[in-house]
Amino acid sequence: MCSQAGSASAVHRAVMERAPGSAEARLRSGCLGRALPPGPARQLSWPSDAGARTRNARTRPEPGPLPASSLRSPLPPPPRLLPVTRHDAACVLRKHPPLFSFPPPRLCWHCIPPRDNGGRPDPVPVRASLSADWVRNGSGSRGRRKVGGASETQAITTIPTRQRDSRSLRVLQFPRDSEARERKWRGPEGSRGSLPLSFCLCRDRTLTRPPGGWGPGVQWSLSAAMKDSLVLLARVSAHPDSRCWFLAWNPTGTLLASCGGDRSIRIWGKEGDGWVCKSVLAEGHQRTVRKVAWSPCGNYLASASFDATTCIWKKNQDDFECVTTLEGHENEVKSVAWAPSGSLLATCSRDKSVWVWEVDEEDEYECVSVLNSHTQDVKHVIWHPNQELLASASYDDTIKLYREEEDDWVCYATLEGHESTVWSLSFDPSGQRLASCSDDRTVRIWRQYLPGNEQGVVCNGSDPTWKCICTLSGFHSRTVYDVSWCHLTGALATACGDDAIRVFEEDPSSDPQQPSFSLTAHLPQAHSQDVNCVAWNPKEPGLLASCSDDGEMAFWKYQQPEVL
Amino acid sequence: MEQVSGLLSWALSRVLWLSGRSERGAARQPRIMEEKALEVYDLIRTIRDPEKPNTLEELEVVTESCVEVKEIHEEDYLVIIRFTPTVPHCSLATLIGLCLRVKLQRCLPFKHKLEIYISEGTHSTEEDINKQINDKERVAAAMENPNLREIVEQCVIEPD
Repeated sequence: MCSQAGSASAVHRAVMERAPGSAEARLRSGCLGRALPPGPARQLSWPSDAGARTRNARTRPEPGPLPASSLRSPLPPPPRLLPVTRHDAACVLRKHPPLFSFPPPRLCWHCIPPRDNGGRPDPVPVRASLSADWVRNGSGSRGRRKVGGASETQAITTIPTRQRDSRSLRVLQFPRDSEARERKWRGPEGSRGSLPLSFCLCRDRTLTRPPGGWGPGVQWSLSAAMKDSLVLLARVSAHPDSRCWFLAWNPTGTLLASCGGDRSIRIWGKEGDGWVCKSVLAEGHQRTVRKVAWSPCGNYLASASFDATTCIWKKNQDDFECVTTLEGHENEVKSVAWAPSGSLLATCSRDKSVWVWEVDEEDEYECVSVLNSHTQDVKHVIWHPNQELLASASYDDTIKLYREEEDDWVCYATLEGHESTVWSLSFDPSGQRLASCSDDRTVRIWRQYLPGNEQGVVCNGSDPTWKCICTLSGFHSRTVYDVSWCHLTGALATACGDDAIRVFEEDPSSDPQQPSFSLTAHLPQAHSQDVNCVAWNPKEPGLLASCSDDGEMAFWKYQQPEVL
Repeated sequence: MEQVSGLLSWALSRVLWLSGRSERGAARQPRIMEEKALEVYDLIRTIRDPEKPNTLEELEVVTESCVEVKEIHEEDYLVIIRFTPTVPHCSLATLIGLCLRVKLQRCLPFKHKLEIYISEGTHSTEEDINKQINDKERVAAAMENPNLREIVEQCVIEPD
């Protein structure tokens, strides 16, 4: 229940974040263009309701010439958008209600208005046309009143009676053909832009039905679009009877290392359509292995364990050999990461410290710095993809950034904003932005502002400042354990404690200083227990691996849904 | 006395169950939740206190009303336990939380997500303790510590 409600409100929020003007314009072009039947009907002025035209075509005489006075003082221009409100089930022509229109729409031109005005006509001039074809009075009679003279100044009401004669039905009915229906909903190519398929906002900001109702239809296709965008390729029982904590792809994307509560590390390779275990590294640790990391060259694997040690494994063809064990932390080592240069390694632990190690050509490791900036456990460390910049996430709700300054490492920035433990971090492909996920069920995006930036963000001396530019909240119903930013496609995947995997994409039209992300894939029961880790393959776009507390590992194929 | 109260509570649950059966639809939900809560309570009340030889029920650390069960999905429930530690001492409260988590993880038959909190106002550092107890990485690391594991196993062991 939670996750579905979450996703509905998430879509709502995602839609809300669009610039209303542009979406409205798109809707407008989508609706009205289709509603009008082709041919001479188009020349009818607004509301150009073909239904009324066919209704009245045989019962009314042709309108005569207008009196001159009406031309001199014309009626106010009609509102461009059709005013609609609740439709009752009998309303045949269902149009997208406008996102925004002023004055606010009062009644559906086709249905009896729901509001009781005491029998008095609605003062809003719903229709006005110089030809005055179908001006009706408040009682809804089918009489016609010519526009002109004194009647001009009267409130013109057009409360049509419900008409269901077969002609109007034929003209206005939604196409039976499902393809044509799809085309109607989707609009011409490119017109819908980044709006999620067929959800539209009502005046009162509720998600409303699209035309045709919920048929084999829209909500299904939206959630199906989201479900289809993440397809399961394979499920493997990586660490039976214990949890699988972490996954790491090697730099060429051919091998996947997984580590778990059974104290072993398994290396997986693809064979045909399935994934097989190439080797098991079982003797390295006495306790749970929490994280593994490949070196940038792909020849070394570092593993961090709860036994307070970090093991470095060297790859010899298909075999791995433990060449070094790094000790020094007082408690469990929570994370390990290799710098992109390959000569630096960072580890962090429950003892609140981050250690930076340097490795030389003879595989000698030396600790060059111990950073005690955090006030609580440090959960995750990660290196910047291009620069020698280290980021750490902690149980004390902060993220700290470090860089080297005169032979020593210093913390130059603290990112505060999360309300609970920050579990994981991920840099975007350019390294300008950082995504962080937390126990407070949100994902935050932070952006780097260099000194002398155009946006006028104040920087402390020569150090860049990081600011939170986006918060994704309301999408996750439990702790978010991992976030991963794909370096090939720019998609953001999250692993959540509610067993679900979600993928977000940035809207291409959004402001880089205030981006908006929308949920493009949501798989509610990706695993049977908490998802601990998600990892994008560095070489194959769209290939996502995930692991869970139930010891299973799953591979997914992600495809961006068509609407975006 | 215990037997009588046990019999009474059993009879009450049966009566509730029987009356629940005659109702349809949404009225069933609270019944199911109550049943699940009772199931959870049945498991945790026999856990022994780390310091004293009594069970948590006897010390009134946990009561029937402190267990709340909500449904997340079909067959997936969120269990929330709010316990009252006897001693406002840091390590024991976390230890009790640990025992609760381990017991339910091992013995509760239905799929669940567990949240354990100290009932409000009963401890000075309750926010810290709540955060610790609900951090699964810390809990896993704690259970790998042989001393702690020994204590927890002693507390959680089924009475003969």
